[in-house]
Amino acid sequence: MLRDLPIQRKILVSIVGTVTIVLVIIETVFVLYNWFSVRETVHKNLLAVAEVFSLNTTAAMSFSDSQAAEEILSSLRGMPEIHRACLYQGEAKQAQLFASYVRGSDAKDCPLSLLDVKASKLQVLTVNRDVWLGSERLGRLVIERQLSDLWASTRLDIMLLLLMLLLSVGIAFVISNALQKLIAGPILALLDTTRKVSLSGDYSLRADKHGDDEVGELIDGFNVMLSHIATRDTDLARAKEELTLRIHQADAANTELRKAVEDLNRTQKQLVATEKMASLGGLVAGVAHEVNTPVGVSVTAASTLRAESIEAEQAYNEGKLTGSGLKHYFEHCMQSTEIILNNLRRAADLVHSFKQVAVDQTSFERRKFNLKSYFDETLLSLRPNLKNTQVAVEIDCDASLEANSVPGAISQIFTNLLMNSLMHAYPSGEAGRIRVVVAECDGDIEICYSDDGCGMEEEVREKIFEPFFTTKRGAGGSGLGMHIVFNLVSQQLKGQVEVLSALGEGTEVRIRFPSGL
Amino acid sequence: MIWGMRFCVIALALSLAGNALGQGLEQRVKAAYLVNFTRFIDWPPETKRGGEEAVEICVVGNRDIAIALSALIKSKPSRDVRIRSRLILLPEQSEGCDVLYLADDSGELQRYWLQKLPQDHILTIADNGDFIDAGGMISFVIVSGKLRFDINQANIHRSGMSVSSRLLSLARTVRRSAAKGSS
Repeated sequence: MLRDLPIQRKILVSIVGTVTIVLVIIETVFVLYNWFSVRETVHKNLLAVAEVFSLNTTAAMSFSDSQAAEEILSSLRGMPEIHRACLYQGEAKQAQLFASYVRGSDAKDCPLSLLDVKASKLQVLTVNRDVWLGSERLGRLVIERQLSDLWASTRLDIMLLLLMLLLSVGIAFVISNALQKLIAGPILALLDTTRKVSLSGDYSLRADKHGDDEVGELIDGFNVMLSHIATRDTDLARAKEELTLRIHQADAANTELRKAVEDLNRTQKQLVATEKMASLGGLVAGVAHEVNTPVGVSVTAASTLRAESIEAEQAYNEGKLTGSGLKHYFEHCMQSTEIILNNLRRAADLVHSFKQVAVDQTSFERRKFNLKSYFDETLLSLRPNLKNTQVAVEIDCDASLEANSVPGAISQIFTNLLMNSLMHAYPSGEAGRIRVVVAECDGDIEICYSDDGCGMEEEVREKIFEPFFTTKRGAGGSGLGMHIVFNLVSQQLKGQVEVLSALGEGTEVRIRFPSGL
Repeated sequence: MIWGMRFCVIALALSLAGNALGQGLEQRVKAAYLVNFTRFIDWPPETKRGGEEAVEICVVGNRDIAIALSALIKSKPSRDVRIRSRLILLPEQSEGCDVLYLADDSGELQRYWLQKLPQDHILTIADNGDFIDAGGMISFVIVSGKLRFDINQANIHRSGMSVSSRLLSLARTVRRSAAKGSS
């Protein structure tokens, strides 16, 4: 409530309020003290009067002369405040009215029994005094005095003090008015400046200083703050401009970068595709080489058969063909056709399996297949690559194990792993042993491919799946083989792959993928 | 309490006396007055009474008052002052008396007694009004049926005693000098 008052009003209220409260307290205490001290004085005086009159009435009481006692009491007329004096004879409880003095007609008569005498009240002061004769108590004198004079003087005091209070409050009002200009003036001026600054946003404005007090300091501080704000505004604007420029530059750089990344991705994809095609090319070479032998054998056998046949025909035409000669020819025919058939069947088998592998490698079609025979076929297609090495490949797989997955991916993975082993694990034609263990485990197929080659360092192993990472950059490594393996396992087979290796301890690749997708 | 009782009795006696001073009642009221007077009289310090001994009230010629007095003293003994009373016949017997009450109102006889008293500072009291003019100190008077008294202050002073102003204020008449004249 007081908190929300304007500062001028606050000063006014605090000064005038303080003055009023202090004066009211002082004046109340003064009036109370005055009232009680005057009453005490009056009480003492009245006690003295009672003393005198109790002494004076002793004899009258002793002689039971109530008339004399009343005469003595009647001299109380000289004290107008005393409105009643009652003299009782006898001991306290039985004391009876002996003589009395009553002033004027306003006052009531004395009660007949001492027991009915009332104690002091606000309006009436009552004193009691026993009447003694030697050590005998003859009775008691009760004098009552009205306190109207005390109340009148108290009323006068209160009036005077109220007048003083009003006067003081008035003076306080005038002084606080003067003070509030002195105190509140600079604050209001500062407030005005603050408003102007906040409305106009013009930080070049300054507040006027009126004195060196706290408000003066406040104004100084405010002005310093304004100048700081102005400086900061300028700095801020400059910084903002610079930032905008930088953002533009950064945006441009970003666009370029994005473009570069896109190019890179595209190039990577192209490279991956090229690599796939390259492996397919390798496959074709393998196929050609593998088919070459049976076809060659067949050609040799066929040409031998042909030469034999020409020889036999010539002998027949000349009539020199003997039964044994014909028999010999037939034997030779049978042998040759046997060889030709066998070799052609073998060639057909090879072509069939190569065709399947090649189709799978290019199409990644999903189908159900036998793992053991598929690995065998793939290995067959890779035989040309193994021919000039001393590396033995061993496939350990349950013949009945089947999977509904992407065989093309598996054959390409196997091809890439094998090619990597040949290229990296046995770099100078050492003898080696590659072992592929295929097993089913909780509905997953687990392929554990391991070689006993030279292994690899930890840094190499960590980066092995990164695209374009190769340790044989100059020697025909594209750095994509293992990246493709990783992509095929995770994307085509929906599985996981991990490589365990240490330098000189061979390499183990573990692939795990669901047997039925 | 005892004294309260006593004053009740006195008050009763006095109010009765106020109506009509019957013989027996008058003796008792006078006896009470005699005792009361001793409370407002100061004897000189060198005297027997001034030495705080018992006050001795001597009654001359009225056996009834003497009886009433001794009955009063016996029934209500004072804490402050011991009071004794005796009935005497001759001035020679007044040795040791502090208060002398002359019940006989013959002026001749009273003058004789006053002359024959063995020492000063004896408070002399009689019933007739001219006693104080004849050298006596206090005389009882009856005013409108009520027992009151006159005092000759000069005679009391002359015999070395002093009387309380409070007693004087109760007196009907106070003589300030041996000569005639009243206040």
